[in-house]
Parts: sequence; C-alpha cells; structure tokens
Amino acid sequence: MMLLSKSAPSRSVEFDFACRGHEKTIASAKFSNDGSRVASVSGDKTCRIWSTKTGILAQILVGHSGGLCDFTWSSDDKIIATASDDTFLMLWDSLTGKCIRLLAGHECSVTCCAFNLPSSNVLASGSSDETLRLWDIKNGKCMLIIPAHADPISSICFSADGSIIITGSYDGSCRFWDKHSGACLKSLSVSEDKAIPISFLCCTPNPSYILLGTLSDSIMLIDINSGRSVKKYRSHMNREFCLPSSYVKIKEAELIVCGSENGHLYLWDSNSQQLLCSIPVKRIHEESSNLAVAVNISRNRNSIVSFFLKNDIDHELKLWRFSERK
Amino acid sequence: MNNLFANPDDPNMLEHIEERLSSGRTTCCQWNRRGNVLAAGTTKGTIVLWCFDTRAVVREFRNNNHSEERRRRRKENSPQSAAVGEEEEEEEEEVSFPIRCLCWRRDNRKIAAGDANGHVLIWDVLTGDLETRMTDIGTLNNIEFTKDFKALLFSPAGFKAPMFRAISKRSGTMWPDTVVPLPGGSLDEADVHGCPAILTRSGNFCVYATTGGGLCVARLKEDGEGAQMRRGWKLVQTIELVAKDAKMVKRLELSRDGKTLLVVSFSKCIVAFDVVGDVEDKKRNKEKEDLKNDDNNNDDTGLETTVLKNRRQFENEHSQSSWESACVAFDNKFVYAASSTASHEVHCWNLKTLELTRVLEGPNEAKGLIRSCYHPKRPLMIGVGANGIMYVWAKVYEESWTAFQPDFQELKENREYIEREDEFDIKDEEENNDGTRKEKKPNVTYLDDASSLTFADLKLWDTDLSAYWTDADEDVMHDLPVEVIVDYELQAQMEEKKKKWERKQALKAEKKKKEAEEKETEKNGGKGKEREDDGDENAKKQKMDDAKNEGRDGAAKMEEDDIINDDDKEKD
Repeated sequence: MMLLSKSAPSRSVEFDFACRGHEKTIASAKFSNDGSRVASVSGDKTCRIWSTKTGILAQILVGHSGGLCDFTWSSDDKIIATASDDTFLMLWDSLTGKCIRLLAGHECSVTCCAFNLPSSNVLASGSSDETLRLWDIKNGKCMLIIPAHADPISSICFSADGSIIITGSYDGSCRFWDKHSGACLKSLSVSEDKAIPISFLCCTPNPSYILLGTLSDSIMLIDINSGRSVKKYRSHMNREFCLPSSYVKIKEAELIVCGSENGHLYLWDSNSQQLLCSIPVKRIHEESSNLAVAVNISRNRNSIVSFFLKNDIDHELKLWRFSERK
Repeated sequence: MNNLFANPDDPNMLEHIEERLSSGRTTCCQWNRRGNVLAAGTTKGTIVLWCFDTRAVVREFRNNNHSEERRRRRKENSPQSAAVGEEEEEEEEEVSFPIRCLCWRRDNRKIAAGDANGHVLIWDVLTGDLETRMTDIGTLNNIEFTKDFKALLFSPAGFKAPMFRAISKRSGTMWPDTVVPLPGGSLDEADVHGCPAILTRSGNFCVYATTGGGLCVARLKEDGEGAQMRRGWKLVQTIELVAKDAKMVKRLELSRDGKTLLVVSFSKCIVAFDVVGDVEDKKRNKEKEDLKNDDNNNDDTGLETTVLKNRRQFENEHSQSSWESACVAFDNKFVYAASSTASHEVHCWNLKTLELTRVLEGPNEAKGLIRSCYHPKRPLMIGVGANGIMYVWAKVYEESWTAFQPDFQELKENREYIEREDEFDIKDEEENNDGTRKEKKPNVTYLDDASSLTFADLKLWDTDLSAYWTDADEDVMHDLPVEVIVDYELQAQMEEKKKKWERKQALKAEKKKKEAEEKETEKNGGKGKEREDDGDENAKKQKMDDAKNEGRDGAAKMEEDDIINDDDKEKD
C-alpha cells in the first residue's frame, strides 16, 4: 500500500471500522489518552464516545443548546470538557455520561479548549470573542480573562509543564501566556502582513517544539526557544478549515499526519520534511470528493480517526490503523 | 518553562503582597517539590493543601482517623446529612492541637506533622488517610523524613538533642531510636524550644544546633547490607556560633538547591553557611564506579569532613528584634527574613554581597511573620503572619508590550515623533519602495521565513524534561487528582434534557424506519443512506454492529483497490 520509510519496515494504513450516529458535521474527534476510546463532537449538539475496540457507542453527551466546536480529555480520561457555539463550556463524566459543571462567561462561541496536562486542574478556552479564559475545574470559576487576540482564537494548548498557554488566532499570530499572571510572554507572527490565519497548534512530546498549521497549505514545526520555524510540511490543501495535524512514532520513524481539503490524508517524515504518502479517505456511497478530511491520532495505539468537515451526507468517524506488512 | 522567556537580568526581587490566603489560622507551611501544592498546618490540627494553579484549597487532612472513617461510613449510608457532620467537627476540635511543624516526603506522597500535644502524624497525600500516629513525642520544633523514607528526624522540646525514630516497627531494626551524637562534655540542660535539626539534600548529613549555641554536623553511617543494615551517626564537624546575648538557635533553613544553610537564632544576625561535599547517592555511586580501581576505598570515599564552610552574616543595624523566619530565593540571589514580634517587615539581602537591598513593608494587621517559605520555581514567597494569614509576596507584574507583537520596540522614554516631510503625502507605491527612505524596522523574523528551516535531525519524541524539572527521573507524585464539585442541579436539568432528546430521537428513527421500509418495497432492497439510533439500548447496539460491518465491507473493497494500485507503484 505504501512505504513509510526506507529504513523502517514497510507499514500500511488499514481501514478498521466506522462509527456512525452523528446527524450533522463532526467538528472534532480525539482519542482518549489511553487510546481505549474515541470521542467526537458535532453540530448536532452532541458529543459521542465510542470504544476503539468494538466501535460501539459508549455514551452520548446531550445538553448543549448549540453545535459543538471542540472538546478535550482530561489527563486521566475521566473528564471531558466540551466547547460549544452556545458560548458555554461543559464538563462531563466520561464514564457515566453525566454533566458535571457548566462554565459560563464567554460572549461568543467557544472555539477551542485544553486542559493543563498532567494535572488537569485548569481548563483554558479560546473563543470567537477573542478572549482566552482560564477556569478552575474544581469549582467552575473563571480565574482569568485575557483579551488575547484581535481575531477569533482558533487553537489553544498548554506547554509540556503546564506553565505556559499557547494560543493561535485568525489574526495570524501565536502568543505565549504565563498561566499564573496572564502576562504575554512572546508573540510570533506567520507573515509580515498578518493575513495568514493560524488554524491549529499543538505541543509535541519534545517541550522545545510546537506544531502549527496555517491556512496557507502549510504545517510548521516551531522552535519555542528561538521563535522560528525549523520544519515545514507542504503539499496538502488547507485554506478554509482548521484541520488538526498530529504526530506519530512508528518504530524509529517520526511522522506528521494531517488531513486535507481534497479528501486525502497526508503523512510526512518529520525530519526530512518529505511527503511519504497521501491516502484517499473515500466515502462509501459516493466517489471520493473534494471534502475536507480531518484526522487525529492515538499515540499509543497507532490508530487514526478521520472524518469529513462541512458536508451534508457523511457524518461518520472512520478508524484506521497502522499495521505491519509481511 | 516560563523561565524560557524570563529576562536574565531581572533580579526577581519580591515587591508586593499579591494575595492573602487563609483557611483557619495557619501556623506553618511548606511547598511540595515543584511548588504546585502548598501544605499549611493550622491551629485546629488540620493540614490544608492549597493548589497553586487555582489558589484554592484542594484537600484538608484531619487529625482524627476514627472520625474520618466514621464520616465516610455515614456518607455512604446517607450522603447529605449535614447535621451529623457538624456534630463530629465539634468532637474533633476537642482532640486537635495546633500543628507546630510539617514536611513533605521527598516524593510528595506523604506529609508528616508534629502538633502541640506531642503527636507525630503522617498522612497519605493521595487518600488523605492518617496513616501513622506517634504519641508522647513532645512538642516539635521541626520534622523531616530520612532519605529512605523509613524514619523521621525531629527535635522535641525539652529534649537535649534531635532524634531519629523509625516510622513502622518493621523498619525499627534498621532505625533503632537514635539520638544524634553530641560533642563531648556537652550540655544536658533541657530547653523549651528543642534544638532544630535539618538533613542535607542528599540525606547523608544531619545539621543540628545544640542548646549552647553550637552547630554540629553528623554523617550517616550504614553498617551491614540489605535488611541487616543498621544506621548510625558520626559527628564530623562542630562550629561555635559566637553570639553576644542569646545563643539559642531557632531555626535552620536550607535553600532549595541544598547549597546554602541559614541559621536563625536569638541574636540579631542571620548566619549563612555554604554546604559543601553533600553529594547525592546517585552521583556518588557513579563516581565510585569511576574509581573502581582503588581497592582500599572504605565508606569514607567522597565524604567530606568539613560540610559547612564560608560563614557569612546578614543583619540590619536598625532592627531591634531578633529574626523568626528566613528563606533563600529560588534563584539563590537573595535572602529574605522577617521577625515575628515587630511589624510586617521583610528584609531582603543580596546573598553574594551581603548587602541589605530592601525592606518590604506589609500591612499592619499582620504583625510579624512566623514563617516564610520561598517558592521552588518562581519569585514568590509565602509569609505566614502572626495572625495566621498567609501573605503571598510576589513581583509586581508589568505588561511587556514588546511581547505582544514581534515588531514592537520598547522605548525607555517618550520620543517626540518627527514627521518626515513626505510622510503623509500621497505618492506612487514605487517611489515609496525606495529603501533608504523607509523607517527602519526592528529585526523581526516571521514564521514564514524559510531561512531558519533545517534538515537536521530533531527528535520530536524527546520527552526529556530535565531542562525544566530536575526531578523528572524520580518517582514523585506531582499532581493531586482533581476532585470536581458536581453541580447536581445542573445535572438533573441535563438528565431531563437528555430524556427529551432521546424521545425525540426515537420518534425520528421510527419515522425514518417507516420511510425506509416504504422505499425498500419500492426499490427492492436499497440500502438506507443513514441509520439513526433509537432509544432502545439493544436495538442501538445491533444497529451499531450492522453499521460497523457495513462500513467494513464497503471500505474493505476500496482498500483492496488501493492496495493493488499502490503495489503496482511500489514495484515501479
């Protein structure tokens, strides 16, 4: 099917199964930290949790009165925080499916949220109201409101030690914030004219680097210390949607994975920056189309979840897995 | 990691009180290893754990195990019986005494404390259970775990010297009750304060004060191997602290890196020593391996006999009272000290130059400070006021505008902006592109800039956090699991909502089923495009399985096509 790396044994990506049930477009899907479950949020106002072993729906989280944009697992996978267009965030018990708390305060739809790993006692959320808010998980109080950007915040994450919050915004800048004081520590711009929005960012296991995606068909690896890009991955299409990119390690090969707006998912070698392969994520009933595919990876199980953004027909999650070929 | 962006020239001096924390009257406090949890002992005999991230109380440990158990049992029986809880609290107050001192075990999993009634108590941090209770020890000045976690070092009031005691009976053979050795002919007069004692960072040396105002260092002696090993202490160094009026040592404080020792006594100065030769076992073992060729190595290898060196003094001539608390800043730049009787004044000396750099004045109501405790990672100090409130001393945080935009420049003074003659003229683009005329922009790199791209091997999976945490390799419990307070009212509302939603879904599904059936009869077996869940659990599962199989069949076919195509490509 494809050769990932010449040195590593050839491996392929195989389709596992599909999870169906959402009635509207899926906005985000992520694996739990232990890899045993995958959850998805959708415009149909629900969040669904599936088992990655059997594909059976484990829980449906119903309660938001607007479509859901993003969600995040706590480090022990017990809590799920969902961010919604109804301006609220909600905390859920992922095992019982019960709502725990409502976090109210944002003035516009909440676009992204992240727990501070590994302690998961603070939730950071970014919103279209251009503010970044920090919430005390224990009692649901808003600890800090930071007017962070000049445009909606598209993505948010914590540094590896949980002391810094990193936000990316449609205003083309990526900012680093001190969790305790709320002080802006650093700001990076994609380009001089500030016209290229940042669509996604996430931390890597190496605390020195973050992965950052822009709406100009590129994903970059940023060195936090120097504030410069050190690797760039291109050739996929990404102009419109916030496609999450992810990283995976297979034997010794470190790969970057991202969906694309042409119905394919792309894999790059993280060091050589070379495109290894692109795989069409086909729909069952129709021929492959120009739909945007978003993917996410379970880091310990080497499986991929993919879904189509913004479409009327296909609201399913597809699970893929890396398997060794003999 | 926030240190990454810190200004290296910033002295990190404390400036103001950022916050007041109180939950009961605090008597003493201590940070855990990384400074994300602060443990505070109270006059009610409880230990309150504060989360530094949220500045909120996350746990409270009580000193009464039985009532804890009883409460748990009652909770199980009747979850919301507030009346019972109150009753018990009264009960507890009767048996609780103020906490005098406390300490974290190095791996953050246990907290030991001594109360005013002479009990030594050890709690498990994760469960909150009171695990050990030793009685009739005496009021303690300080308490500490030994490096193997099997014994405690404490110095009871009225006892002539600090002592070690095994925590459990089983480790009693390894740690027979020992009193640290005292220099010959020394003092057996008892004292109300007890003699403070402290273990160095490696745990191999014990520094303690004698009632006569001397300072002793004893080295850990380990005889035998494995379970047979017996511990003892050997006196290696004695120092006479010459003080004019009062010789009693109140407290000993070690800096976070273990290299500076502060001695707080009844005299008007704070004495500091450098701690040298205190090598941690890990490193020493390594050195031993390197020196394997030497056969005659006895256990003295690598162990110095002079541990405390370079005596220095910090004082303020104008200050009247003696010091009560002192601590070294996390970056070892300053020494902070305060007295308990005078007003809330924190003195700040430069550790290197010994110069008194600043006197920070706090609120009047706080009176003096009985304890101070510097954060291990940040410029932040907790001062426990004599009134039982914890004052958070920190830096005044200034917004750095240059951080907001890469092309912003910080100006030291306001500058009059002189307009160029043609600045606001309407001109052709081309003319404006003349490089010489443009205002010079600061040297800014943008992420789009390809010049920084590299082909070098970068390890994404380098999970080595040692640059940020020196203890990343140790088995330390850094975080307490979050206990979320459930909003039951909301939960009930949401359950209602979900039920409604499920009913709706069921109706929808039924409708679709009918439609599909109709279609099926028309088209003879066309597949429905989408399937919905219905409320019934079994039907849902079955459907999921159906969907799964269907998906697998469909996609598997596609896969086969792909495989054939790709295989061809590979051959090429």
